[in-house]
Amino acid sequence: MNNKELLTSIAAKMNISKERANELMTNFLDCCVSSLKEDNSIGFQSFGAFEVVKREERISVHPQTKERSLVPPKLVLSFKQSTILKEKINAKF
Amino acid sequence: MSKDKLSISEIIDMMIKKGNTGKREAEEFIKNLLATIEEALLSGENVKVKGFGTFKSQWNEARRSVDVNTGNDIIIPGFYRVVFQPDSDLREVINEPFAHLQTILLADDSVVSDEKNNVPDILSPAKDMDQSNEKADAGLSFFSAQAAEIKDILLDINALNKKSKNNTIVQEDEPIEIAENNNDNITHRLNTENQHNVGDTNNDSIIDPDDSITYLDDEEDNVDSTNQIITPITDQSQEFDIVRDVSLLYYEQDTSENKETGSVADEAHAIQPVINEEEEKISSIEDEDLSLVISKEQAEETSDEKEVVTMLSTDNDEAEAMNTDEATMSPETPEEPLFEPVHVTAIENNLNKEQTTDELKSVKIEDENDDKKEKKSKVPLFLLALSLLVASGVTAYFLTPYLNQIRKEKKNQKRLEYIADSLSTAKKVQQILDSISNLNTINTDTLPAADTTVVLDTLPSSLSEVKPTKPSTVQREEPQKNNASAEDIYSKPRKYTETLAVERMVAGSQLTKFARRYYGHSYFWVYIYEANKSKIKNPNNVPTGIEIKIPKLDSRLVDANSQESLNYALKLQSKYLK
Repeated sequence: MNNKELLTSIAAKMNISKERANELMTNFLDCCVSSLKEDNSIGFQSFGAFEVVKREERISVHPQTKERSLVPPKLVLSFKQSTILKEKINAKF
Repeated sequence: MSKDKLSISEIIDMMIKKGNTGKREAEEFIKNLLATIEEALLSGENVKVKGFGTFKSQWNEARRSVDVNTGNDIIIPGFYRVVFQPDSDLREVINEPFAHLQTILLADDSVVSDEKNNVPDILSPAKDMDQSNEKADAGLSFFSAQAAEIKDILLDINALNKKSKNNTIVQEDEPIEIAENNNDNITHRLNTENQHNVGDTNNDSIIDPDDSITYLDDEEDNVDSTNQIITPITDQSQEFDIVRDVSLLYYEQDTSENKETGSVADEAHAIQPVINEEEEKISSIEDEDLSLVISKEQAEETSDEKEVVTMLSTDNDEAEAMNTDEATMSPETPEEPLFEPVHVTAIENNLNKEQTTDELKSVKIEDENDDKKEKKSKVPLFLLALSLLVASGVTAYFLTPYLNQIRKEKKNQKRLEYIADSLSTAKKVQQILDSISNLNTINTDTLPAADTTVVLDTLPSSLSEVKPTKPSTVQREEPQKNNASAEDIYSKPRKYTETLAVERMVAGSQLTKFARRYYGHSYFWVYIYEANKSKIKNPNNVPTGIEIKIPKLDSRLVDANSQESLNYALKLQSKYLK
C-alpha cells in the first residue's frame, strides 16, 4: 500500500478530503520526527513503539576484497511491535 | 535531550500546538492511520508512508533453540513480525549528531580500541609505536643508569680540574662553579698534589698559557652547562707518578687489545687514538636515531671506551654533554704537551668505563654460561632418561621367564594341593571299604585301589554320612565301577556334591577363568556351569554378584593334558552354547 492509498483510505474513514488527510499526515509526522530528534521515544498503544538507538562503531570486513573498514557510530530509528499486534498477525496463519 | 516515552495523547498535543487541527480530529486521524496500517499488514501488504518509512510483515523461519526453564531442546516455530524501515531522509535527520563521521579503511595490522568516541581514531600506528618505544625504553634505562654513574665521575674530574685551575691561573675572574668533591680517591689525591706543587714553575711550562686562556673562553660560553667541562690539570711531577700508578692499575684490569707493556707514554699514545675515535663516534651517533643495535655492533670491537660512549649517547642529552666534553678535549689531544692531563682524564674515564664494561662483560658471560648450562643440563638429562628406559627394558626381558616360572609353580602347587586333598579322602574311603570288605565277602581286589576317585562322586562331603549308607551304595555301584573306564566317566551323569571353592561373580569374571584356575583348562567351565545350573541360566551371560560353587571333579574329567577329556568338555560346550 503506498502513500496515496493510505491517505485515501484514511480520508474515506474519516470523511475528510484527501488534502486534509495529507495535511494531518505531515503535521503528525513532523511532530513525531521532532520528538524523536530530541531523543524521545514514541509509543502507540497496541501498535508499537519507535525509539532512537545508538549503534556503536565497528570493524567490518569486505568479504571479497577482505578490506577492513571502521564504520563510525550512528543513531538509528527502531520500531518494536506490540505484543497484541504480534498476536494478531500470527493468529491468521 | 530527555529520553521520555511519549504517548498518543502527547503527540496529539503537539499536533494541536502546531495548529490547524483540533484534539478530536488529531486523535481520530492517528487511530485511523494505525488501523489502516494494521489492516494492510495483516493482509500481508507492505505500507509505505512518505517521509517516514515502510512497514512490512516479515516471516521468521522456525529455528532450534533451548527451553530456558528446562534446558531441553526446543523448536521455536515460525512467525510473522512487523518491521519498520525508515526512509533515507528520516535516517539523515535522526543521525544528525553523527552525520560528520565517515567510514575509514583500516591498515591490515591495526587494532582498534573499544573506546566509544564520536570521532573515529586512526589508532594503529600509535599503538605500534608505543610497543617499540617500551622496548627501547627498557634498554635505555639500563644504560642511562650507567651513564649517570659515568656522569658523576666526570663531574668529579671537572671539579678537580677547576680547583687546580683556580690554584694556578690567576687571571680568571669569572665565577666558575665547582663540582662537589666525591669520595673518589684519585681525584682527592690529585687535588692534594696540586696544592703541594703550586709554586713549581717547571711544570707550568708544560701547559701553554695561551691554550688555557682559550679554554677559559670556551668555558665562559659553557658556564651554564655546569660541570660538564673537563679542564686541563696543571701537571706536577708527583701527579705524574700517580698517573702512572693509576695507569698500571688500569693495565692489570685491561683485557682489550690495547695492552702494552712499559711506559706510560706508550699507553697514552694508545689511548689517544681511541679517544679520537670516541669523538668521531659521538658526533656520528648524535645524528642517528639511537638504538641498542649500535651499542651491540660496537660491543664486538675491542675498545671498552666505545661501548660506554655509545651507551651514553643513547640518551640524547648525555650525548650533547659529552660532545661538549670531547670538543673541549679535542684542542688538547693532538698536542703533545698536553697529553698528560688528557691522559689522566682518559684514564679516569677508562677506569670507570672499565668498571661498567666489566659489569657488562660479566653479565654477558653469565648469559653465556647460563645458555651453556642449560644446554649442558638438557643433554645429560636426556641421556639419563634414555639409559633408564633401556635398563628397565633389559630387566623386564630377563625377568619374564622367571615370572612365568613362578606363575606356573603356583598353579602346580594348587593342583598338587587339590590332588593331595583328594588322595587323603580317597585313602580314608579306602580304609572304610577295607573294613567293609572284611565284614562282607566282596572282593576288594576288584576295587581299584588307586581309583577311589570314582567313588568320590557319590560320596557326601562328611565322612560320618558315608558310613551308614556305604554298604548298599558301594555294593551296587561297585560292579559298575569295576569296569569303570574312561567312557563311563563321561557317560555317567555327574553329580556335584563336593565343592572346591565358592566364587562370587564380579564384573569381568568368567567361568572359563575359574576353570583355568581350578582345573587347568578353560574348557572345563562346562562342569562349573553344570554345578551351578540353577543359578546360571545362560552360560554366555552370567549374572554378576551371584555365588557359584567350583565343584570337585574327577581328575580324569578335568585332565588338561588328556585330549579325550578336552574333547568331551568341548562337546558339552557346544551343547550348552547353542
